Amino acid sequence: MTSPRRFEQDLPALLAETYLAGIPDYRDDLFRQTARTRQRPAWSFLTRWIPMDVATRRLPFVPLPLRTIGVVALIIILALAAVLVAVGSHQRVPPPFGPARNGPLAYMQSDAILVRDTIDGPERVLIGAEAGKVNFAGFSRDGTRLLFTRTIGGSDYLFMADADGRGERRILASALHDAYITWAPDGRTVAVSDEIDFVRKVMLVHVDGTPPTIVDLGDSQPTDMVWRPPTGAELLVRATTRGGGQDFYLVRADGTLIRSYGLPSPLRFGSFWDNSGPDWSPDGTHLAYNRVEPLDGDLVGHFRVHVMRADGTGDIVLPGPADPSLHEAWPLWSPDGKSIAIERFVFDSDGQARIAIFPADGSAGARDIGPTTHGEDAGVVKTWAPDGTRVISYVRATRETFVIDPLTGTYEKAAWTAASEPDFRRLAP
Amino acid sequence: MDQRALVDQARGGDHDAFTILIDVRLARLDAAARLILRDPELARDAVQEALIRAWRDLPGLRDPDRLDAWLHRLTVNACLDLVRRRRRRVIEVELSPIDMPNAADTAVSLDDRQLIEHALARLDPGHRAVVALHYLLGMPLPEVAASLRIPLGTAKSRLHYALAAMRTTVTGVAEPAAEAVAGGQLA
Repeated sequence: MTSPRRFEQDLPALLAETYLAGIPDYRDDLFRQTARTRQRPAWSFLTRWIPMDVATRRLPFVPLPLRTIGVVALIIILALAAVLVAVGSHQRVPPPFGPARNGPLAYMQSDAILVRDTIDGPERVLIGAEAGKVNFAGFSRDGTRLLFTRTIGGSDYLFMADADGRGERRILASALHDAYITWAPDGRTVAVSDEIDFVRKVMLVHVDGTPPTIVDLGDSQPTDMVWRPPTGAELLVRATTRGGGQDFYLVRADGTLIRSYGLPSPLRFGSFWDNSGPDWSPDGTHLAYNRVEPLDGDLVGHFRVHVMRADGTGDIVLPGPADPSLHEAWPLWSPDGKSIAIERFVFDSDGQARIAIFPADGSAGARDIGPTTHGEDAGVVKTWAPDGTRVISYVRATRETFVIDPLTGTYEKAAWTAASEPDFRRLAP
Repeated sequence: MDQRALVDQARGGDHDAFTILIDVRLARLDAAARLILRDPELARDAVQEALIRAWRDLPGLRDPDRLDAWLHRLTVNACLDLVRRRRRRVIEVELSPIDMPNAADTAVSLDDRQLIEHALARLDPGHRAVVALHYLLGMPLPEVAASLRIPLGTAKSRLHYALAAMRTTVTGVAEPAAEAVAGGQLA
């Protein structure tokens, strides 16, 4: 045996020779499982959109000495006129919550962000890839800005720009690694869940350049998060607990913890998927999310959508599908708060996926809308049009976009393809 | 094709690219899992869970150069998750291939293998995870600490304890504490 003095030096080789045993015999079975498994859409790592509060603006007030009144009266009049012109020409922002007017539709293509004023309108570049590949993270809820990452020197950095693509600037000095990003309702802060020195933390990145605020969740490791309507004073953070499960944590905008929810996390489907996909109702009173429920003879479990009050009470599971083998997950409240769009899917080589709509009160099961996609990578992602009259579904495998009427379920396929789920810019009605 | 290109393809849903990426890493991940769990069936479960998650979440991996660190972390965390779930149950240790004589192996004798096994058996999974990440997978100690979500000082002390315990088991001689960590890679 290796001598004591050389023990540490020899240990790597000893371990390798002891434990490395060639390709495991479960290799083929493993790849069969992964081949049947749907990849999580890239957009879900970048953006969780929430209703946004209106950013209030303060106009500067400058007191004037009496002796100068006569001299500056004309200047005041001119200044007032200038202010009126400025205010008159300033774009109104949409109301903080509820339906808004549909603005341009933006999406990724060829490492750039493209935009169309309407589904059938001409395409133009919003953010080009000349200075580095970009990854779209969506418009702010007031429709005045957009967020994206840009790859520079092999690393991804967080940028924002005005909604027309001008004024691009980096808002976080450090590179991103595996980030979830979402605007705060006031549009002045971006919540970023990412690794800092290999440990996941939530940073509240302030667009004015002040140092980020770090949210301390103790031993729990944050994954994704959503700001709570209507004020955005609270942030719901989903995190891996010390025991390996998933729970929700409500924190204040200053980063201090309010409470954890103590949700059960049986880890049937892997630790990452319990209590996933949280989405607040537009009024902030309820929270919809995924749970993995056991079915008879099913050790792995199936995704089902739950709704609970903001304080964690009154948790209900929405009525399951007629075919219990279907999974139902990834709830998304409609702008008016009356409906919840979900994804229905099955995991197998003939996998299929579609969008369905629940009444938000849980009074009935979901009804299918739009097309059904098939295949191993049949996954669809979805978003509501700001006016609530359409659901946009995006099929990642084919890069097709469908425009669906949520009332009738009828749909049309866009004439173009995209490399990411499209996102509407919200405009004032 | 280089790793970045393969990761890009796999992120875009190319399962063949994912297979190529994992094929060259699977043996080491399996070895690390068996070292930590000391049960080949549990190790299989942990590696499968880790790699299914890796495939699902690959579109979110932003830096292809971090693939190895990410896979190591997923695997070790899957191992420790399994331990937590089973901590109230007795883990049955099955006779694994490493207990079998291997005529082709001239570098490590059966006695050496058994000594290493006995030494590791005296450690808890958290200590074995530090050993696996640092000495088997070659991760720098700060990255080990981050992967296990423990302070760097805790990682160092676990490594020190693990090495001291293993050395005592293997040689019957307890070495001074400082030497134990000095043998590791700190950067």
